[in-house]
Amino acid sequence: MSVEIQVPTVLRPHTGGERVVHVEGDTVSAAIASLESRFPGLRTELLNDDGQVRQFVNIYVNDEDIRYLNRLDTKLADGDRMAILPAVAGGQYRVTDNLEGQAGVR
Amino acid sequence: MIKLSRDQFDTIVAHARSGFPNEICGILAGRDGQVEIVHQARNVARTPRTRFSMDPQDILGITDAIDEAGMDLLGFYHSHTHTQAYPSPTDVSDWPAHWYPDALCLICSLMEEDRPQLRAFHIDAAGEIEEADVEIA
Ligand SMILES: [Zn+2]
Repeated sequence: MSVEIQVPTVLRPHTGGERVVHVEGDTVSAAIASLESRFPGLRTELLNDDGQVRQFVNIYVNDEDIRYLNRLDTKLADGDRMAILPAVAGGQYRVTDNLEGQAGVR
Repeated sequence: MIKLSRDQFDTIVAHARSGFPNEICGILAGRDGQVEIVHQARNVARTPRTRFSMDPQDILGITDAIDEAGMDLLGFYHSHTHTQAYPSPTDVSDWPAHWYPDALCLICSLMEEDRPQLRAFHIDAAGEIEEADVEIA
């Protein structure tokens, strides 16, 4: 079971500059473990101490965000593509404000 | 300090206006603080009027292009349609200082319709905000 993993520029120092690496694993979690065994230190860039995906990390399997699949338990099949991507986000109001309905008025 | 041409400034403002009432976002690439390319990205936030979330595949494609061109990622820009050009609490809490410690957070405000504003900030991992000069020439 071999999956292709796309590595973003910010993490390539961990992979010796490789943009794409191939690892074994039948779930996202297993693929990350196998990445860690090849590139020690990479796991803590992706997961926090509770073993959850970090806030600034997005993981996609075949272009689907794993948050909308089965998260770290998302199954991988031979030839699947997994992408690790940095998250860049923000917003003009506080997270708790709900101004979505009014924001078009000006 | 970040330097842009008048055309690049106009490009960012036009991008912000074209996305209205939604927030828009993009990446500025260049060398030595001088912007050379304005890369527009898609905002894939579920509530794009008040939030932005840069399309991750756009980030991958654009950062690869910046690398291949031998440029630096100088900053990320986004628009504020109804608030001033200053980082919101959400901007600060979501800011990816961990990945991009040197990148500036640029905000284009459309709050005053006839006077769009562009300001730049350095935000560190602790959430400290420091304004940087924006030179348009
Ligand atoms: Zn903002």
